[in-house]
Amino acid sequence: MSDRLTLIESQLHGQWLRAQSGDASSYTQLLSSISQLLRGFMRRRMQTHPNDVEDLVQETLMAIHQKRHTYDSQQPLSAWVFAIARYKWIDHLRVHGRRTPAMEDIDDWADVLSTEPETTASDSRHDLSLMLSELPDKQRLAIEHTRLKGLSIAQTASLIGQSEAAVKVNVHRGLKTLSQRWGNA
Amino acid sequence: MKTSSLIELLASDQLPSGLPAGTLRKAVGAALVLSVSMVVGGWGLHADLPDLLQSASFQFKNLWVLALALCSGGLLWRLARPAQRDGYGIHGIGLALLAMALMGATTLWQAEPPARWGLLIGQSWWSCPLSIALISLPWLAVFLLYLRQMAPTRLALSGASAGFLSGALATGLYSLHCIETSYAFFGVWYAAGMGLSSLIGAILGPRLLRW
Repeated sequence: MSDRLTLIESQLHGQWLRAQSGDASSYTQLLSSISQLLRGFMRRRMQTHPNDVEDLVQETLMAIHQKRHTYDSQQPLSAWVFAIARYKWIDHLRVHGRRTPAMEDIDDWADVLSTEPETTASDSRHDLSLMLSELPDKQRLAIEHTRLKGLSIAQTASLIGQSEAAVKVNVHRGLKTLSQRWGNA
Repeated sequence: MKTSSLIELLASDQLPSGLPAGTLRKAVGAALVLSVSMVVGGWGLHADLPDLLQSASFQFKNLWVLALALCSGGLLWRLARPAQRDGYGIHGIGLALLAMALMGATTLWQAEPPARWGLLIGQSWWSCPLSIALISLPWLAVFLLYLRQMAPTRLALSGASAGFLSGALATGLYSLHCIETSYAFFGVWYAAGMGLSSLIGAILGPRLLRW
């Protein structure tokens, strides 16, 4: 286990023990820290469906709460949390009929090891999705695919069923609208 | 709902999670009463019970069943909890099954050729697995109830281990009725009965255990 994971683990485990002895504020803190880990975990795996990330985070938090008697205090808390997260993620994919990767990518765990807090990124993306939601679908999709997910014009065109020229025009128009509406704010 | 409000909501819930222990205990009691009365009332006890209880084949067979029950019980305990290591339950089950198969093979090898078929097939080869599977159903219900309030992440495997454990308990009870004495019979048809229970559990698992 890396130092970073060890540190997270010891903090979480301490909060868990205090929370289980009835300290509600420790429990609130614990769930907030866990929700940040979960957000990173889900975001890595749901890059094509970023709108489902927060739903999955909340669903996992509820499961953690409802199934907290299945945690054995001898085992690492983070392992238990991520096992539940993984179950909820796969369950989500199963329900929505998407393919699961056969293997875990080591890069998927980078969020656990990274030093950047997840909350800031979360808030900004949330605002951006609000702004984008006001655009017409054609422009919003074009921007989301090319600018947020980093796909090429050609990939975007085939994914959202527009011609390449239309994708370029829609990105341009959408960005123009956005900058007019929000640029001076 | 915002995630922060959800967290506040969860933190304010002080009720313990999971089923109260009493519920599970009652379910175990009900399964015990039901399966025992199935064997005693439906199948009937062995005609010469005192003799049966003292016979080596009965004692060895039930030692074997006990080992299988302990291994599958340990496996079930672990599968019910996220991120637990699998432990050695599956290995234990495999070894026990193999041991009985070897004992059975030895019996057949040592027997006179004309007697072999009878030792393997006995008088109840087809009813034995079915009986074990039927008697295991009340137990399977209990273990699936247990799993439902736990958090299994591999549903088919968890269902199968619940099935195997119920099959092992049912086999122990069924042995009070069974007239077979050959290890070859136990190694094949008792194992088939427990396998049938596991199969039922594996089929029900993904349907009943989602959470």
